Amino acid sequence: MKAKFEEKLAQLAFGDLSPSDAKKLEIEAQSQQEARETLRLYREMRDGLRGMAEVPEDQFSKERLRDAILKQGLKPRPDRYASNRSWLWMPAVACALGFGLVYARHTILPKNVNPQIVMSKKSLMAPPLLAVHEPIRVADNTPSPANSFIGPIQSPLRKTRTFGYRHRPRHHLEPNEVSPNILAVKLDGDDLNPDFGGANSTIPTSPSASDVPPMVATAASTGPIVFIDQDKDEQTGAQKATEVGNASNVLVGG
Amino acid sequence: MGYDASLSGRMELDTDGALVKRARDGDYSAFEKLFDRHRTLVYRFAYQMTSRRDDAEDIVQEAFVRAYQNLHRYRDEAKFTTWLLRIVTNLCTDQARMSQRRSALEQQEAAGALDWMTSGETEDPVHNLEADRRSRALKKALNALPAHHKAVIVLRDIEEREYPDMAAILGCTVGGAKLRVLRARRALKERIAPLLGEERT
Repeated sequence: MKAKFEEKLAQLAFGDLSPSDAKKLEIEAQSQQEARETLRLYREMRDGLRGMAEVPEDQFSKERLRDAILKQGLKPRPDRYASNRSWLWMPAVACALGFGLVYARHTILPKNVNPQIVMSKKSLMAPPLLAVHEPIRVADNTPSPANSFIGPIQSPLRKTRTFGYRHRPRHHLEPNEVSPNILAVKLDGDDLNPDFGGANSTIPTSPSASDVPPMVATAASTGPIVFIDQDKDEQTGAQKATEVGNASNVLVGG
Repeated sequence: MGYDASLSGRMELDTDGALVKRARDGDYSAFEKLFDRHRTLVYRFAYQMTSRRDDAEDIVQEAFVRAYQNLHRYRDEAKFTTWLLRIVTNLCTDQARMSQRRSALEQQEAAGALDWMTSGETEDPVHNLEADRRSRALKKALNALPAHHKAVIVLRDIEEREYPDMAAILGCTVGGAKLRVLRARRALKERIAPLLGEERT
């Protein structure tokens, strides 16, 4: 017998079908021996279950319930208004944490963090790949706060590709301050600034970066390379930046 | 007019929702009224689920204690009896799981004791014997059902509750409740058929 048909028989036996459907199914079930037996069994079940509705009298009392409630201890009734306001601590804590992080970042960390890598003519010992993730600032011969900042869009200088070493926290630059992260810059030939004098020109940088210890840098590409020298320019007192032909001229590593 | 208004106001004060509100505010007598009103309903269901009076009474007690402690969770949109029966259903399911360790003999004795009390409706001894045999087989089969099937059978076929009410108690849709009833009846039939066959032989 199909399960669907058996379900219909159960519904018929327990009175869950409409009278018209029940009549049709009753006729259909009478013609099949198995269906007739199943229907009879379901009807016996229905009668037996309805006969089980009688239950013995309970012996329960209010005193017993009261004792049980008192024994288990009454939970304090929760303050609904307090529970509705309970979410407020979450944004408060988030704000406090955020403020604390920002404050700690500006106070604990030194303003001029030691540069990770600095180019130098004298010593060329550097990891092969450089990370530059601060805006590039190069001072020209007449440095001024207005033109000393060369951002990533307006500058003809482009950052070298970054392949890692993004571990230094950002800090804000003061005017005329050279980012210690500026290590190597690559010049594309077609957008060289003529003020820089083309290849092998010397570009003095900001004097405020003079305390940067000489370290190493290298270029990871074959394009023009600019070295920022430790030595100061005699006229301006700023560090020099010298453009070289390409990276093939540079000895990389110790 | 004034009489009608006062009567309706008094009836509103006696509704389950009003009593729950008073009980929430600390009026324990309101909760006792709720207990008096619904204890039989809860007891009947618990008894059908456990087949033992002492177990059923324990469940009733536990259900009302839990209801009192969780009155703040009761939402007024549901009927209080529905909410209460849901608590009882969960308690009975837990109790059924725990009592699986109980010996089958103990359950048979309980069923047999009830048979002595409930059988013997007619004067015909042959009919009494036959009714006794069927009733015993049915109880045995019902007690062997898993708790979720048993709860459905008790609610629909013994307590004769409507499907929407069952759906609210069981926490499902009306269609889901109908499906559960069908499955439970089929499971009961599969258990009772061999029992009747055994006793016939």
